[in-house]
Amino acid sequence: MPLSEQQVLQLAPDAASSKAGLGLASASKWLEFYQHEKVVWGLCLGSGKEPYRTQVDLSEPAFRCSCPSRKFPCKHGLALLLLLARTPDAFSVQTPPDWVAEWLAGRNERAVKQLLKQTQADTEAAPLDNAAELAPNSASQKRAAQREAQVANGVQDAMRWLEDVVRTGLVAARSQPYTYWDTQAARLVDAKAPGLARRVRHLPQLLTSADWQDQMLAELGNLYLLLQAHANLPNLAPSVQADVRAAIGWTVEQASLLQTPGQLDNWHVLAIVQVEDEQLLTRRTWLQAHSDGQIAMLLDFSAGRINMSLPLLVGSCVPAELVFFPGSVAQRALLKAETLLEQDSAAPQFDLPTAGAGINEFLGKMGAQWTCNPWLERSAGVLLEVHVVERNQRWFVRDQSAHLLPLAKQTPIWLLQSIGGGASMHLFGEWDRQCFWPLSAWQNEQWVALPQEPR
Amino acid sequence: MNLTVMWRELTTPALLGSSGRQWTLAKQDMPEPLPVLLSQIAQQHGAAQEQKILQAAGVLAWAKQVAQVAPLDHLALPQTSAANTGHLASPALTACLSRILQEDLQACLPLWLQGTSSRAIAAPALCLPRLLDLGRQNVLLRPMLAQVLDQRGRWLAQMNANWKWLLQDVAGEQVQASWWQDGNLEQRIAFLQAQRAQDAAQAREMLRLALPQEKASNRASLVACLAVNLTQEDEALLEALLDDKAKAVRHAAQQLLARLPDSRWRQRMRERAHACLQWRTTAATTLSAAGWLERMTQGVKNLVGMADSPQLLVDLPSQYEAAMQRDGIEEKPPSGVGERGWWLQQILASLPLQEWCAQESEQRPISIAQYLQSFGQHDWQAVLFAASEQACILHQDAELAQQLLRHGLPFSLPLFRLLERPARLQILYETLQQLQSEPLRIREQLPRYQDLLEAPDVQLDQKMTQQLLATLHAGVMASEIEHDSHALRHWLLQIVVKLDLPALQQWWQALDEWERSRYATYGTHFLPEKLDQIIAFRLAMQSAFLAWDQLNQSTEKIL
Repeated sequence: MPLSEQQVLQLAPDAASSKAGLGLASASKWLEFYQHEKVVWGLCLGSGKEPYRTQVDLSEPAFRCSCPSRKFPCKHGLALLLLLARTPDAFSVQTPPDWVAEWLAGRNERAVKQLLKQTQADTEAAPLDNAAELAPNSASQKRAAQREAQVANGVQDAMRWLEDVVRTGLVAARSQPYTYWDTQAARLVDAKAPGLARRVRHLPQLLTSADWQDQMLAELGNLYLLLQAHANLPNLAPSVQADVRAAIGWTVEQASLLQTPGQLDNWHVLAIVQVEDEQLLTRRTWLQAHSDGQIAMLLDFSAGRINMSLPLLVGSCVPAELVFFPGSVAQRALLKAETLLEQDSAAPQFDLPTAGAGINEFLGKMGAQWTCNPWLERSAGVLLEVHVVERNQRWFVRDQSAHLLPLAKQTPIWLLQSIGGGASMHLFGEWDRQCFWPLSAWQNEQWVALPQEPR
Repeated sequence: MNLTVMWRELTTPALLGSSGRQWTLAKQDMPEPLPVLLSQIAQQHGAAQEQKILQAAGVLAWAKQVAQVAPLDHLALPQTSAANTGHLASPALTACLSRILQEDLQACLPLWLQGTSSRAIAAPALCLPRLLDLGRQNVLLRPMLAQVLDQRGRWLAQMNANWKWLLQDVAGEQVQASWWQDGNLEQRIAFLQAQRAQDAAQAREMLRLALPQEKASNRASLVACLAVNLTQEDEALLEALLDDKAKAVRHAAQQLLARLPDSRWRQRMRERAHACLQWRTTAATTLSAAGWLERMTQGVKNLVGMADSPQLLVDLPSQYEAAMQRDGIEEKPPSGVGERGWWLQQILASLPLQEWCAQESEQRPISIAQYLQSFGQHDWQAVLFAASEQACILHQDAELAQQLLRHGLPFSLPLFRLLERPARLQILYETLQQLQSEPLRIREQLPRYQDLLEAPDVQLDQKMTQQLLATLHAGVMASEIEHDSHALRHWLLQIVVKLDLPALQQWWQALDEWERSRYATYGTHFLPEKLDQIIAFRLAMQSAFLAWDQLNQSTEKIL
């Protein structure tokens, strides 16, 4: 799959690294640079005595460089990839030198070990759902049961805490310090319920909004519903159980998920969002199947950007097989990486819907998803022929039937206005139950990513 | 039942605390599933109030979310932008602009703007907000930006107060009569200037009537408007303003009176100057009393052009008078300057050089060169040069500026600014040549010329580029320690986009490794790297424009 500069720059740890990488992304900066199958390497002159040895394993991509930079990837790694994106033909094919071969061998060895470990873990984890079939003295069963108990205790604790909040009243809760919320979130982390912890940690942010009373009560009610659902888990349908477990923070074993058949299709890449929260980078890639219009979201996480995969290119079309996570709403999916390689050069054009993509239809689709899963954090869709308008110092999109949908405060309004020029335009974006976040705009017969403000 | 009403019933106990307020669900008549479910929640036995509230909140919030309907807008849609008149930028040119804006290459922006505006290419929509912001920050860029922002840019500017500069600079707001009474200071100045251009006498009268009601800072700005169509008829008002309470107003009036050759103010200044300065020639002083031999010798010298140079005699003002204060001559000098010399400097600075001394009709007029020659050898040269520089600026005398730069004040930036661009560059070229032979002064002097080159549309030709780089290089090589040449190296980065690209490339490639290492610096600016980046980018941009031209030429041929 050809690389683009835009994809590479999204891997940069910060703007300074992007700039530095771009500055080094010319052949004159490199003493030599080569490639072999899925690895590229080069020697770059720096301020050190010896040139830096930079190598990138394109399969992830993974970086390694002999420079002393503490950033990851460093500017040399970025520059080498940028150079590859700009001038792929300039890289001549060579057998990797020892320093590259050794690194690759080490990586392969670690990957094999990881796979073995994973398989072992799968074997241990598989019977979790069939606890009765397990030998009573199995250590892994004990661990699983321990975690289930921990979560159940955490859920009970969180229910009592929520009841306390309402008993004393939201007005009183509003005057509590941040630690009041953070301590409870930390208890949920200890109880192995990270999904709940994240939502509790988010609560103080709601208190700053103008309609904080409504937002807070709605969020507490939704949380309580989730906790009650967890307490009642065995009686729920399997898909709802999956929704609840996902919202609580249980992870789904991806290796086994990848073994299940998925949807093979031409997937249009509509938008990418990257959100950085402290050290954790989250990337959401929104795709739409060409055959039936199914929307899918790929979710990638990276701590300190290590092992973050190359992003897909907005506007491109990827023939791939996607496996959806279990749940009432088919949204989060996994990409079967191997199918990426079979890219068809004659990718189909994205078909814009001709009707039914007004604001109320959009809300209807979103509502249908929330009907099935009230803990869905967000969804996404296309809005056809909308104008950007300002009403009472707030920005909205307005469709052809004059319905309004509020835009997120972080929306790059002037960029949208500049693209649209006051005329209607087609947008793709996320809906988070409160406002619409435009992520890409339809321009020259393709989706173009809009720059994102930090959330 | 209305969801909003149900929600409101729930909010009050939730806010105040369920221990104090009870949640009770109003009696439901309709057998809807939601009220039924809520009443089941409300009637749960053994459940605490807060549990019921939280359960009901969860259900209602869910229902509200699912049943969400967008509100209707009753206002009209805003006006759309007119279509751009410029061509659509090619992807390569768009990519160049994106790199300029993202990669710390903003110094290259004028080159992109020049290239696109000369080809009538409009800036791509994705970059417009950034370009409009840059225009807000950098006044010098505005004329060039205005040419590529096109209709879409102007449409955007109408909606964002930060970008109003585009509308003012391009369209030029129509001056309105109401501005004189209701406008802000800028609008009132614009109105008064327009009036002066149309009917100077009427505008003067308007100003005279308005001045007593104005505050001092406004008075000074409005009085300065008399510069438009300034005539002797304005003298009476200006003379009267010499008695204004505010120093700024008196100063504005003095500046204008200085420009009226027949004003009484200028006459008074002339008299003061003539009392202090006079030329002494041999003929005027000693020859009348000399014998025939001396007279004959002098006659021959005059005939063959070997006459003795006239001598400028300076007699400093002896005392400070009250009238001097009224005419704007300050009594107290800046520190390090003598009082009497300071008074003389102010007197002379108000007059054109030719009026400094009384000219007797039978004598040949003293040329500027003679003045400057005499200054160079004079005890009071600092006072005389400073006064001549100020006089030159006040009277906008480009010829004197040239002479001063060549013969007396080679490094005066205000004088450079008086020159037209070709003359300015020519003198700068000569100055650079002169500096090259004095490498130790280069480090201090050369960066001072930065703002002469900062006009976005200044591009140096090959000859100028070569000279500038030769001088700069001499300065860098002459610096004994790396830190000394930091300013020079930094300056090179500032002006590198102004330089002729082939000459720059040739110079850079011709440097050997040791010479290049003198440009390297540790820290944020790694100059050789940056130079390479800019050179590579300029070449890429050149190719993008070349491709555009070729495509256009072939399209024209087809058409």
